[in-house]
Amino acid sequence: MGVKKTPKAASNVARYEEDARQQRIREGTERVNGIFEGNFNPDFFTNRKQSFLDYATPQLEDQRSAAEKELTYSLARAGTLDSSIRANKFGELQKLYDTNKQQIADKALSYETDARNNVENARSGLLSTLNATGDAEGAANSSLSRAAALSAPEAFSPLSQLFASFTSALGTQAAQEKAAAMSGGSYTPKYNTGLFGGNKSVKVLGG
Amino acid sequence: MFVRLALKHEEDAFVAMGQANVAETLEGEPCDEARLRQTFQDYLATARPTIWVVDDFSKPVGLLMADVGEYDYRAGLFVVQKVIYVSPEKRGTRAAVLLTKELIRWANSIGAVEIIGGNDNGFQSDRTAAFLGHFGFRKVGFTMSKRLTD
Repeated sequence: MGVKKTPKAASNVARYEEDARQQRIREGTERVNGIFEGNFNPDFFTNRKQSFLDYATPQLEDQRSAAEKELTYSLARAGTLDSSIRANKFGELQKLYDTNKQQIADKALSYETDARNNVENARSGLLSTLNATGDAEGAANSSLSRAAALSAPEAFSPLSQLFASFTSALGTQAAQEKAAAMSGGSYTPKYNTGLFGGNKSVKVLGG
Repeated sequence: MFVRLALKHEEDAFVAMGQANVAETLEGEPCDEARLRQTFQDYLATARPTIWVVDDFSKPVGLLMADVGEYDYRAGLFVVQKVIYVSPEKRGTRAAVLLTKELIRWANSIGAVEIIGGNDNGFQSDRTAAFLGHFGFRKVGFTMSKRLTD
């Protein structure tokens, strides 16, 4: 859209003031951009993602290791360490691990994206204010403090129990299968993995 | 995404958007790159015209060009909206709205009496009129053109 009407020159004094104002704004914009570019290069955003991965991945591995141990003990108690049940259960665990790993990668990416958006919002706010006020010095000073605040390391929350549903299910299943074994057939669990109880009975020997 | 004054190093981006605008809205009309560059230099040197860009993660994705004039018959200034252009991939975003809001804010800030704008090239005229109507612009007369050379 556009019109070709060419206006007559506005008064020289008014134009001079506007020229000078725009020049101050452009200089202020260059200073704000320089401060932001100096503090927030592409590596800064990549590091935000990597920091979360470095924080979360060891926790994921530790929790996986603990879940594997718990599964192994359960299999050993049931005498099924060398059975197909073992492969199935470890397969389930691996699937859960893969899902959690993907969720951590997604979360890490969101930290990178959020950082980009926060930095851009801050720059946008500073330059919009500069555009309205023409205060280049104030914009530059505000940029320094905003950049410092935005550069502060992100505080992460510890991961929740990522394999809780898996290990909790092992416990529940164990309780149900043991109950079935002890009930002498009057109670049947919905699923019978054979990991717990089975047909074995506990013999109490008295003296 | 926000609007700010165009910066010195954005001359190439301005020229590219200007050429794209002419190609899209004035089909067959010559477009002189040197003239576009001179317009940009005039802006830097004199603020006539004034050029804003839409900044999207530091990339210019739209532009607004406006000028100021004095009435022949009364005191006061008027603002002329000469070009509003948004890159095709950013149409449908807030870009045009942000540009128009900035035009109105700036016109108010310099004490202008009115903004003259609209469309004189036949490109999406009704849509342009409806868009500007949302901001309080009203239709005044007709724009007419008599082509003298070809």
